Amino acid sequence: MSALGKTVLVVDDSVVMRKLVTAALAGMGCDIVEATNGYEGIQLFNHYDVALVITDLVMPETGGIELIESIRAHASRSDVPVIVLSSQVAGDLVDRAFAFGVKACLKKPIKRAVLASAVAFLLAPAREAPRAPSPRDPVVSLPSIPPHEA
Amino acid sequence: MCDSLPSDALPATSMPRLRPRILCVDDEPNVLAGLVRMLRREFEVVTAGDGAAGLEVLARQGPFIVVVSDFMMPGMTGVQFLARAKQLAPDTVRILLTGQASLEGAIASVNEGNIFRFLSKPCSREHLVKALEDAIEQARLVTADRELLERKLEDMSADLLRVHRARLLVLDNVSDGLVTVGVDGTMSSECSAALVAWMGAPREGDLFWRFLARHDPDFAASVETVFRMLRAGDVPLEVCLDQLPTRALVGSTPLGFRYRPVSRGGPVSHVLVVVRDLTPEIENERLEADQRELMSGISQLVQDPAEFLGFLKEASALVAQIIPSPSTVGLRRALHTLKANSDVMGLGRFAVLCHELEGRVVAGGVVTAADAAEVHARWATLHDRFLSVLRVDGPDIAITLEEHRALVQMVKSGASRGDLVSRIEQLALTPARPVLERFAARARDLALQLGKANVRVVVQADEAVRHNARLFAPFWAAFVHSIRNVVDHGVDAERDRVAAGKPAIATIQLTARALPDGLTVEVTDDGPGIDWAAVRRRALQVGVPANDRAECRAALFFDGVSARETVSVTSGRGIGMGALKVACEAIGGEVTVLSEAGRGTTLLFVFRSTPLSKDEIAFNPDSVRPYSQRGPAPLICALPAISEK
Repeated sequence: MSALGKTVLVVDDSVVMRKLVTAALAGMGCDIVEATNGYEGIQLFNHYDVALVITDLVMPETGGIELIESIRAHASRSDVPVIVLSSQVAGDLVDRAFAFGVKACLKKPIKRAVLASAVAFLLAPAREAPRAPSPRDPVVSLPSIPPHEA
Repeated sequence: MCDSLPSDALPATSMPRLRPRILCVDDEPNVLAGLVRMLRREFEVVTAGDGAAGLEVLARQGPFIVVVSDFMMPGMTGVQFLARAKQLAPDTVRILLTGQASLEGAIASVNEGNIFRFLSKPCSREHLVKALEDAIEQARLVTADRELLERKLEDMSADLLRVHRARLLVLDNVSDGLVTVGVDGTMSSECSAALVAWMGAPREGDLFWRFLARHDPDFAASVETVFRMLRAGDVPLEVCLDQLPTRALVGSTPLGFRYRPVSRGGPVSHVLVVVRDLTPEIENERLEADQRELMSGISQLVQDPAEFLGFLKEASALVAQIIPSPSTVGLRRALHTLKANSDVMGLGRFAVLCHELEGRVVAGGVVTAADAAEVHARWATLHDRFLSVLRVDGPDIAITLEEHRALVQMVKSGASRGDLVSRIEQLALTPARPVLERFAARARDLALQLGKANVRVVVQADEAVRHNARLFAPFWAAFVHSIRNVVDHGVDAERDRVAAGKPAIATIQLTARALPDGLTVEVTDDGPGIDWAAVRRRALQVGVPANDRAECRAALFFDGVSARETVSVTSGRGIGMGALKVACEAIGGEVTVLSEAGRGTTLLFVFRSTPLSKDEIAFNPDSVRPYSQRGPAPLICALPAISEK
């Protein structure tokens, strides 16, 4: 089981960007909740059992850094992984995001498969409790990601 | 007298024991003979014709100090051979001589860590001897190294030595910039000569982004962010590699970056960074953009010739005002108008040039002599290109001697008044041949631009084939599209042609013929023919019916229009065919495509005085008669008939 039934919070002030992210994650079986700024994001984060947050940095009113800061201050779920998806991948805001322990800072525009790959990796149960796969594990179809040429 | 002897005649055996022994392996006897000739003075050269023979020689006649192998050989490749040679004779230094200094080959050898140097064919004698001398020096170093190490470290394994050797590997002979960077961002000091030439030499342990920041700080900052993620390992490697930026500007050189993971058995420990000079690619993009600009200008011209001609005239006057000068209201206004109008007319690149200049002038800058010269040159080129397409009409009537004789003959032989009038009427029309000659010249230019050397462009048009240039102007303007298409898609590669039993040189023929009641224009190639399956696929993609051949033919002329640029169903046959069809039909013509797989394609335009029925569209070559035999029916494209009062 990976993303199936888990909730992903997508925070971006652009409706187009939110749709693109939703489309990239379609087929992974996760539920998606959308917010248009950091403040809405915090409200939704408190309301849902969010497994992963994908957020923009610069948004009207409350930005991404404030959202991440609030998550890190959360009483019980301060360790929820966060992916920053922004048109800026360098500079002060990005440094602050990394200081708050975000897992990745990805650049817009992004390929669907690349975003899906990062999300699938962060939601994979192996990251929570490593164990050998059992033949009885249900088969979940992830979006196909080309195998990596090592 | 030794001085009088050619040096080759010196006894080759004078100092046999002193010459280092080298083994050369190549499947080409001529190459081997050449290598022996080049090297026999300094080295004792033993040869073998393939990998297996090479291994045999190595085992029986060794030791050799250096082995030089060709890359492409039947049976065993050079890399495979050298890997085996390494097992047989680990002290022999290995050199790969390759016609293709390919990245894959380079990576294979880096990973196997067993080749001292690449040399690309053809390789000069100096270069080869230098490489061999380096290799011999290397062999001595390695031997000395190993003896030292063996003395000091008893458990020094062959593996460690191999790693040491791999680190010494310097790819001097690939044109790519190559350097490995650890996943922690530290650079190896070994890198290819090309990288040093562009960016300077990295020091061992330099952080990759700091090294880059000297040249392109923004690029470096993006790289640093990705390496943060790479170190943390919180996202998959392929995500990180995808996020690495790919274009940097170093000085004035645009460089393209690619990244390949390198693993030495275990998890990925390094990234191989491959850097390429993008200048030629960008130059090609520029040529393409030029071409698109011309095409879109011509589309505008077809849609509204009067407006476009007005624009050309106005723009020429504005361009004349762009002179070296400080910022003035007049200059700003001229640039602004030029920018806006060229943009509307589809001359995107010229618009961008004006926009940049305007920005500078508005900010208080000056127009330098170089700026003005660039605007003038670019405009002159565009203007001339449009004019060359438009210049189909002239006030003078030129007749050939032959035509003149024919007329005199008609009068002498008492031809009817009607025949004479119609013949003289024709003289007011423009011969088609010079028009086609201009297009042929354009086709040759294009072929050169596209790097197609194996093309011959011929024009076939009787001097007597004449047409009303004024009426045909929009058609000729759009005709450029068919030229572009035929050069692009109607010329197959020389190799394919020979394989198909066709002459190596492709022929493009532009033909104009007189019909009894009109004329035809044909563009014929002997290329690969139209890939109807591809046309069908493309058509279905954009939602155009293409169920049978007739629908496919129609689809060929469908231009789908997107927000950014004209997109054609027939990317297989290029752009603008829709515009061409419209222009042809606007003056009463019909267009047909005849294509036979492997044999070629003919684009046929038929202009008649009476509308064609569907059945007549199929072209029947028998119906073509020379102009001189044509009947009295007036051409639709003729000037208004002179009434016989």
